[in-house]
Amino acid sequence: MEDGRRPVLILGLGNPFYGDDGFGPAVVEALSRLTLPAGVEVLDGGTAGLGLLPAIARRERLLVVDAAEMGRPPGTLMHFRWPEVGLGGALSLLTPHQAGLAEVLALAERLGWAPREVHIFALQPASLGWQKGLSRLAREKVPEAVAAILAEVSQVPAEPDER
Amino acid sequence: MKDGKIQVHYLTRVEGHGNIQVEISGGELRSFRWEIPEAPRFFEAMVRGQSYADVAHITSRICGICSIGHTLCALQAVENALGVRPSEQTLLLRKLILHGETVQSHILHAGYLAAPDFLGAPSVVPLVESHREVVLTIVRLHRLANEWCDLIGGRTTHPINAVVNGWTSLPTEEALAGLRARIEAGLADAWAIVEVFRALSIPDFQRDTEYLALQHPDEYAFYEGDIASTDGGTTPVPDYRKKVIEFIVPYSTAKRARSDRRPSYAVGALARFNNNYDRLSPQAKKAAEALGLRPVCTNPFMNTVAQVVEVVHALEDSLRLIDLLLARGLHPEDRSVEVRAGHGVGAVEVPRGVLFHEYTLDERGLVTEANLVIPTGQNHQNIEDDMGALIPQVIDRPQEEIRLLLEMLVRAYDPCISCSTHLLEVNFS
Repeated sequence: MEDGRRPVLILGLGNPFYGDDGFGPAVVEALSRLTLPAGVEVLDGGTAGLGLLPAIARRERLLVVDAAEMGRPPGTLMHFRWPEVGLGGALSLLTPHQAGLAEVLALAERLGWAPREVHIFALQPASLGWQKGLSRLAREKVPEAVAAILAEVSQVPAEPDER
Repeated sequence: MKDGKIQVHYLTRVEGHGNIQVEISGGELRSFRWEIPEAPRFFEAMVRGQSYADVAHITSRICGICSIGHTLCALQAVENALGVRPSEQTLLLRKLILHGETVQSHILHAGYLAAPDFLGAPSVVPLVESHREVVLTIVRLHRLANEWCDLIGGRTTHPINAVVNGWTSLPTEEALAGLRARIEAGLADAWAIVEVFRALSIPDFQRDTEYLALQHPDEYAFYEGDIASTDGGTTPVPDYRKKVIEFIVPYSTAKRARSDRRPSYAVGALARFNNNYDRLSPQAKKAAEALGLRPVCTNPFMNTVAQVVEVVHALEDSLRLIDLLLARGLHPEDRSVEVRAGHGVGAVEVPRGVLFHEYTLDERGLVTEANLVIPTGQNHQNIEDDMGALIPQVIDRPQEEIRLLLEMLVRAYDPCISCSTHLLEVNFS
């Protein structure tokens, strides 16, 4: 962990068996079928919460795809940067199962291991609940998210910078 | 505390009630309860009609932390239903990845969640400044466990390589030898964690209860065995419903369980330790001695300490498993199975205790019935009974202190409160 900055990580979060919560894994699956620029890794993080700390630590750039409650119309896809935009969450937990992206980023930051750049591609879900597969609205947004992420990672510097 | 209510909410998404609720008036305990929502019941419905080949993949999504345990338990149940007996290589690799998950999960819990309680910090965040070396050691072990699960399972969570009757891809012998070297180094880190826990003061509270865990004649059981009880006797896994009696209470959607003998029982690291102490690895026994943990221990707060002992065991025993695998060499194997109608039960010790999966398959190999009994469901009633015994002992203390003790009690069980979904909350300002 004391080594230098690690390659770019595209991280899909969520549960494919909880309706549109599966948006992150769906986008990551679509991306993993494509040829990505060198130095770009893809991970389906599922719902591992704090378990993701080693995966995100010291990344040059982290691109997260997740379903999110943003108070927007269902199916809205947003791209924003953390920590410019804040995430809800708390670090006083009863169990590790509660931890999500907000917690793992907060902990990484405190350890001095937060990725240098964090992009979040978030979908306002149309349908959540115990069912397999995305709603039509969410499904239609998968190619848009894939394209936005590809555009973002194609700006990766050829050589990760110093350190 | 003379009058008042204690409520602890664990998730903002769950509204309207606390997960720990206690009411005290006139200095007396009026009511208490512990409740959680539960995902496995939805999965029981979801796997019906699905193919035997997909059950493990689906149920691995019940939990992001114990996904390997769910995968292996589902595979075991399906294989029992199909009458398949996997090879020794398959079993050794399953035991190896299960140890990886045990380390991953126990470190996450003992390190990030329980340690702050005992070190008097509200969360792990302030520990980064006050105990930086401890946090770095925890993260190193965590990272080792993640890479270990990734090497064998093809992913750090929700493994994709583990399938019915084998593995879709095998690690190379070089990679296994590399993992072995890292696990040896990890043992030194685990001893550093033992030293940290040795110095901590654990609340002194005892309550006699029954402890259930798998037991195996040749090893400290994680992957296979009969169901053993500290009250004596063993039950074969296919008869688990004779030992584990499920029931529900009106105020919680989660299934609970009692045993055939007692109104509540406990599963998890302490239950395994209490039943299987003799089969711990040599270093794990030394760790237990250093930590003052002896069977049968009836202090639920010591569950976290038992987890630390199990981290040492899982690391040391993995060296043995890797040596066996390397001595035999790794070979691709025939994974074909004959599909038929059948019924099978699987039982695996996942980090939080014994997990049961039970499936009935029709002649096409489609699931017609499913029953999942998760460790936390089995611990519910025991947690509530612990609260009922603990609160009167501490009722004169300030409300904040009682609340923290109850939180620590629940945390000690490391309950699985459905991490099946986490909807990110975003605040645009």
